[in-house]
Amino acid sequence: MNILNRLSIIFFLFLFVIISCIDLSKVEGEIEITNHVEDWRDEVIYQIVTDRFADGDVNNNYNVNKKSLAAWNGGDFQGIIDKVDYLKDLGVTTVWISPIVKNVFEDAGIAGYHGYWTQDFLAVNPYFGDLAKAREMVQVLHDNDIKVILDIVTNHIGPLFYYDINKNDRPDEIVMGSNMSCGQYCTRIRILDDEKAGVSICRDEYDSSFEVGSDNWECYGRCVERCEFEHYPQKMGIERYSEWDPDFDPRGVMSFSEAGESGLAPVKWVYMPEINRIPPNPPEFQNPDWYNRKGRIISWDSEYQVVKGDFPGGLKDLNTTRQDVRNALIKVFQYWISALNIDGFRVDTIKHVEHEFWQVFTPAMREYAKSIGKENFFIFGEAFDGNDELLGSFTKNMEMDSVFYFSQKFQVFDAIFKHGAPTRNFERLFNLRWNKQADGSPLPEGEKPRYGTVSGVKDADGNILSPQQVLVNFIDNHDLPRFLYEKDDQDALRNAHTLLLTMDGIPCIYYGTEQNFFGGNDPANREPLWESGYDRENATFRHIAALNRIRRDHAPLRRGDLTIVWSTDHTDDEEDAGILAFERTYKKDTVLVVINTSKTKESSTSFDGDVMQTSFPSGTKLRDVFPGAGNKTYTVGTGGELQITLPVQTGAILVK
Amino acid sequence: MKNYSFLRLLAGVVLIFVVFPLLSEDPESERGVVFGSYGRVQPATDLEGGSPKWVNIVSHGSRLEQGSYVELDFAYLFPQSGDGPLFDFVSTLAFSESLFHGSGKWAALSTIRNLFVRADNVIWKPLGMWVGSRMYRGDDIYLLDFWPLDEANMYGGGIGLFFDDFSVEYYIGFNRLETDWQYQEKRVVAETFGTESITWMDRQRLVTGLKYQHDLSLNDSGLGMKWKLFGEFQRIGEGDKYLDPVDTDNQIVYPEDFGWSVGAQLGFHGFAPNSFSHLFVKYSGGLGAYGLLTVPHGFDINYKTTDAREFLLGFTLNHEMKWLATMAAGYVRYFEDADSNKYDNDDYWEYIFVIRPHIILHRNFYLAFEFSHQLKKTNGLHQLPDNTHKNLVPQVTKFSILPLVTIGGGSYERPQLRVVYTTAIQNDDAKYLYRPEDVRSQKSVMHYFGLSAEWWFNVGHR
Repeated sequence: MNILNRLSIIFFLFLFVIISCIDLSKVEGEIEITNHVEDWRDEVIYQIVTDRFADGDVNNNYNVNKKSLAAWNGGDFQGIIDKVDYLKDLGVTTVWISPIVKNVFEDAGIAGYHGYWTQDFLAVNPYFGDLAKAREMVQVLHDNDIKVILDIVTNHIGPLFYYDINKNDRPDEIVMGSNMSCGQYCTRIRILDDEKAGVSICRDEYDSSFEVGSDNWECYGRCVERCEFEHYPQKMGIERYSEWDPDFDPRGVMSFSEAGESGLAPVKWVYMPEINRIPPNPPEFQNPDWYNRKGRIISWDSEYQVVKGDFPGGLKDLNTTRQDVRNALIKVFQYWISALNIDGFRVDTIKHVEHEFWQVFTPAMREYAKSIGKENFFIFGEAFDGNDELLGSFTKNMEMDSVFYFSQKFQVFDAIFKHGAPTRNFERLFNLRWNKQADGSPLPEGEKPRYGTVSGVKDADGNILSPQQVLVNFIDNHDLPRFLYEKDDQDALRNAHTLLLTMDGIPCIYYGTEQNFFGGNDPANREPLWESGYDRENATFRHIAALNRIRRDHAPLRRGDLTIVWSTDHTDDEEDAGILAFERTYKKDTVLVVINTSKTKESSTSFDGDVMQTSFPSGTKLRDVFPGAGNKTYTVGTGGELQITLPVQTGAILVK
Repeated sequence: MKNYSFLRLLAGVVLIFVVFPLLSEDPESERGVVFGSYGRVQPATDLEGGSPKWVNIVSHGSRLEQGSYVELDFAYLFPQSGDGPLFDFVSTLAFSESLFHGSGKWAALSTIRNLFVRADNVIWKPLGMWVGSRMYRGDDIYLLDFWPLDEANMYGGGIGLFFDDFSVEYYIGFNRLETDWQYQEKRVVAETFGTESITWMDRQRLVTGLKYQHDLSLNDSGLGMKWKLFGEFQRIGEGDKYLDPVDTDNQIVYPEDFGWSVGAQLGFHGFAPNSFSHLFVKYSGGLGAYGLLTVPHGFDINYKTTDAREFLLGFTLNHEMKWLATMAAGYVRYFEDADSNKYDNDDYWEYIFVIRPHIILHRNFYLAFEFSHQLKKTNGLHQLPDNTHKNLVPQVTKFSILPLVTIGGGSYERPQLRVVYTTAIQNDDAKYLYRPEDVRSQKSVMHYFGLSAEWWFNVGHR
C-alpha cells in the first residue's frame, strides 16, 4: 500500500502543477478593455470578408469548396492573425470584419459565409473559430496597432422560419393558389414617391401607373378596389409562392388555400441541425411576434416595405418598434463590445430599420462602451443607397456616428474616376454634405441640412467630431461590382485611391482591391485573397501602401479640414480637364493635393488665364511627396498662385 | 453485411467443430489445437428505465462501463519437427456490441483481430519471428482497458531475439484505414458504358518499431523487476482527397506525414503473492500522438500533424493479501493537436485514478468496490447554455460496488460473475460537455446497475 500511496501523491501533485500552469486570463471571463483610437480620422479601414481573406486553420473547413464563390471557402480568424504582417505592409490601421455570429450555414445551395444570416446572436461562427480565437485575433490586431470594427445585423435574422401559408406544417418552396385574392395580388404594387406632386404613384408589377395616393396604404386600397372590379387574379391564373420568402403583404403574410384566405400565416421554426437552420438564440428571439411577418420586399421605393419587409432571401425582419426586441438587440450587441474589446460597429441595412430604433440603439451602445472603459466607440451604418439625403438622415440625432458613403462612391469614385465625369461632382457633393447648396451657396431659409452636426466620437483634443468629418469613404465593397469589373483601368483605380487616401473622412479599402481584383456582382466580388498570393509588389498594392505612409506622416491628410482650390466641369481637351485640387489644413499645417483624373491628357491647375490659388504665401517651396514624384519641388507664385501640370491619371501631394 | 457476418460465424463454427478436431494433438509436447477466449457480457440498466449512460470524460475510463465483447481464439501450435522451429498459427475472431437477445437485430459487428503465424527457435533458439495481422501489445492497465506504451495493432511482421533475461523485438507493418483520410474510391467513366470504381486516394501508413525488455530477479523469494524501452516511427504517404461536388477540382492535398513515439516502462513483481506494478511513460509526436486506428484531427495549415504531441505517465498495480486484493491504476496524459490554436478545446490534460479493492470473503466470493476520479482540463472555452463562455474543468467521480463470484486465485483470475452498481457524480463542467439535448447534460448523478460476466482463458499463445 505504500507504493500506492506514494504514486497517488505524485499524481495529485503533478496534476496540481499542470492545471495551475495554464494561463487563460486573456481569453476567459471578463477581458481587459483597452483603448486604441486617438482620432478616428487617423484610421484607414480595411474591409475583410473573413471567409475569403485567409485560411489559417484547415480544421474548421467543414464542407468547404474553394472552387465555388457561393460556398464556404475556409477563411477564418487564424488566417487574419497569420496575415497581420500583410495588413501592416499595406498600411491599414483598422479592420472591419464581416459578421462573426453563428449563421445558417446554407440556404438553397448558397452558403452563409458572409455572416449576414444570423442564427445565434451570441455564438461565434465555428467556421471562423471560437470565442477564444476571436479574442486572440483582436488582441493580436491591437498589439499591432490595428483596430477592429465588427459588422453587425439588427434588421433581420437568417432564414430560420417559414410562413405556413397552406397550413400543411411543412415548408413548401412553391405554394399553388389558383384562387389568389385581390389582397394578395395587391401586395405586388410598387409605390413611387413623387415629391413634387406630394403624392405617391402606385404602380403595378408591370410598372404602369394607375392611381395616385397619399401613402402606400391608400395605394393598396385603390389597388384592391380596382382589382376586384377587373378580376385580376382570375386573369393571372395560378400564382407561385415560396413559404420561405413570400412577397410582401402589408397586412402580414396570409394563409390561403383554394377556398380563400384564412388569416395570418403561422410562423414555423424549423430544425435542420445539419445546416444550423434551427430556432434562433437567445431563445426570446423565437417569439413570432418579434417579427414583422409581412414577407419579402418587392418595392424598394416604398419606405414602408423597406422598413417592414423581409430582406430578400427569406431573411426575417425583426419588429424593432417593440421595446422588448430593442432591449434584446441592445443586450446581445453590448455583449460583443465587452466580449471582444472591439473598437466599433459597422451596422448592416440601417435603412431597413426605423429611425426611432437607431435613436435608442446607438446611444445604448455608446453608453455601454463608455461604462466599461471603451472610449470613442465608433458606429457607422450601411444604407445601400445613392441618395445622399437618405444617408445624411441617419447621422442626425446621433443615430450613427457616420455612414458608409455610397453617394460619394457613385458620384465621385465611379462617375469621375471610372467614367470620366467632371471633378466638379466632388465639389458639389462636398458642399451638400456640409449643408450648403451644391454650388456652395448657403441653404435657402427653411431647408433642412442633409447631415447631422454631432457624432459620438471625439478628436485627439477631445472635441466632438461631426459626422461629415468621419464619413467612411470607399471605392469597392462586397455588395457592388468591383471598380475594375466595369472598367479594366488600374491607373484609374490607383488614381481613385489617391483621392480616397488624401481626402477628409475615413478611407475604407475593400480586401482584394489592392490586388486588382475585378469581380462582378455578389458573389464574384468576394474572391479568395489567397489566390493573389498576397502579392506585395504589384503597382496597386505599392501605391496604396505608399499613400498610407504619406497619410501617416502628414497629420493634415488625416485630420485636416478640406478646402477645394480647384475643380472643373471640363473633361475633354481643356487645359484643366479632370483636375481636382484641395488643401488639407490641420493646426496651421497645410498639405496641397492635386489629382488629374483625365484618362487622355495631361492637365494643369489653370484655365483661360486663371491659375489655382492656394493658401500658401508666395515663395513657399513645396515638395511633392506623391509616390514616384521624387520630391520634385514647386514654388508658390504671387498671391499664392500655383500652376502645376500632371500627367494622365496621376497626382501630387505637396508639402512644405 | 448481414451475409458477411453469417459467413464469419459459419467459418468459426466450421473451425471449432470440423477442422480443429481433425488436427492431431501431440500430448507429449502440449502442442496442437488451442481454443481460447477473452470476453465480457454486461447487461445493465440506468435504473430509470433506460440503458446505461456512460459518463467517462477521459480517453480511457473505467472498464466497468463497457459494452459486451468477445474474442474467440483458434490456434494451432504445430508439432515441432526435430529441433526445428516452433510454428504457431493464431486466429482471433472478435465480436462487439450487438447481441441478438439484447437488440433483436440479426447482425453482429465482427472482425478478425489476430491472424498470424509465429515461428520460434528459428535456426537459433532465441530467434523468433511472425507475419500476419496481430494485436502486438505489451502490458496493459487492466482497470482502464488501456495499453499505455506499446499497442501496435499491426498488419505486418516482426522479428526478435528472446533470451532468458532480455529480449529485443523489431516490427514493421502497414495500415490503410477505410476512411477518407487514407482511402477514397472514385467513379469514373468505364471504357464502354456506365462507370467503374477506381482507387483514387491510397495513403498507406508505415509503422515500425523497436522494443527492448530486460527482466531481473531481485531476490530468491520471487521479487523481480523488468524494464522496457520502446520506440516507434510512422510515415504516411501523400494523397489527394476529392470533395463534394465530385465534378469539380475542389480537393484537399494531404502531404507526406510522419510520427514517432518513445517510451519506457518500469515494473516490479513478486513483492506479494500475484502482485505487480508497472510505471509507464511515453512521449509522442506527429502521427504518433494519435492512435494507429484513428484519423488525426487538429492538423496544421498543410494538413500535417508535425506539431501534435502526447505525453503520458501511467501506472497499474495489483497487490494481494490473504483477505484483500487491491488493483489500482491511473494516468496523466497531455494531448496537443497540430494546429496553431493556443486556446483550443482539442488541447488538454486529462487524468484518471482508479482503485478496486476486493475483500475476499470466500475463496470464490469477493466483495469488491471501485472508486475512480477523472478530470479533463482543456485549453479552450466552451459556450454554456446561458450563453456565457468558460474554460471547463470537468470531473467525474464514481463509486462502484461489485460482489462477484470467481474461480478463485486472486483478482486477476477469471471467469468472474458480478453484480455491478455504480453511481457516477459529475460536476457542472462535465455536464456542459454534452449537448443540451443529451440527458447527461442534465444529471449530476447517474446510476448504473448491471450483471457482468468476464472471462479469459488460453490466450497466452498470442
